[in-house]
Amino acid sequence: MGDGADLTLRPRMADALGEAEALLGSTPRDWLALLKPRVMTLVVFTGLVGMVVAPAPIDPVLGFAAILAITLGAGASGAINMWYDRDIDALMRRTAARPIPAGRVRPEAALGFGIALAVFSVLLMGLAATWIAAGILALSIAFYVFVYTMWLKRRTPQNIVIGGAAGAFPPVIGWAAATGTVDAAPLLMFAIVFFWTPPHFWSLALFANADYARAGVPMLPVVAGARETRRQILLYTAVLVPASLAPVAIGFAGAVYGLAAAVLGALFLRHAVAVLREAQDAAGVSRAGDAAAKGCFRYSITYLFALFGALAADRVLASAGLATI
Amino acid sequence: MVTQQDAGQGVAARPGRRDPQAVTRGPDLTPSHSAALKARQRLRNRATLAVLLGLVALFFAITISRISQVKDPQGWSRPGAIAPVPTAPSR
Repeated sequence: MGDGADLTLRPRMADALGEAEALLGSTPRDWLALLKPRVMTLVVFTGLVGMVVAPAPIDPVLGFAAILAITLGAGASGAINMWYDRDIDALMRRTAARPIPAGRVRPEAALGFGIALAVFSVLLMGLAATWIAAGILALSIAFYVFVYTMWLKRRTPQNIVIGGAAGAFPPVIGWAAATGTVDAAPLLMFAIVFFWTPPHFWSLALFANADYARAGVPMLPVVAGARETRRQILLYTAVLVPASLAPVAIGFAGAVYGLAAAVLGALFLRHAVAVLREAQDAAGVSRAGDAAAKGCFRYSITYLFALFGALAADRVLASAGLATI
Repeated sequence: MVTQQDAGQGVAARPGRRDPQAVTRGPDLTPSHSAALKARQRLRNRATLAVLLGLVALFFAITISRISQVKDPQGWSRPGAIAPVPTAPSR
């Protein structure tokens, strides 16, 4: 998709980022950036909630080590992803300043760093918590690297739908770290994150469409157009809202969570409808600077934090006898 | 004989295979770049030290927590606590 012409952008971007910077090598901040810390925060939070709402308590030190393992596992996935995607990262404005395309970290060093972190995180999880949790962590890293990054991302617009499963594992890992088992409740948390991922990423893809098109990544707006993407955002949000209420239906969560899920879900639906109805041309391209998509993207992050926060609060209140299921 | 490479101009060519003491040279740095490079190396070394110390503390804490989970540590020293004690066959 326009690779021939667009490859000329690469040296220009490299020039802009500074040859001298590349010559001086990395700083600790570059290695931290390889771990995708922004993505990490959501992963860590959902993993922590999975651990907190689990019926079995976990030793605080071992719980901390398990959360650290989830954090490092997510970071390892990010580092290996950046190694593999270094060619398209150099073409996208949003990612051109990352340590590898900017020349501050060598690709093979990033790969070694990612693999070492992945192995370490799985061993740490097994030693500190349970080997079931370690196995699921290993599975999630492998899924993100091999299924999402290497197989799906450059081949299908369903990349983030199927690949989104990798980001949905942390609550299951947190639960398994505390209990040593996998139950219906963590699987529902998995489903919530799974159905949350498409509206979250497609909102981003709507306003980062040009970047993805330039790099040849077949995100839904690039392949099917903005109009279809808006429709799909609403569709997945409509599936997400009942999924978010399922923990109440099976008796795992109570009124506090149920009320929060209903209100947060209604607001998410309002954002999705706003994306669908935003002033647009015949192809569905926004005439309002993608304000609705940006709003939906921002809200989706708040939504997941608030929803999982409400679930944790609900379970803590229930265990303290302050709320009834 | 002073070559162009020895004079610090450009990048040295890869030496011949027969030279056992040959080393390759990177591009020359200006004094400010050299100072910045050293500062970054120092920063990386300190970060590595911090990570290693953190790992020592982490694994110490994990070990203590794991040991504290054992309900009856004195039971370890009792015969058969870890493995069955072989008894002499009766005659």
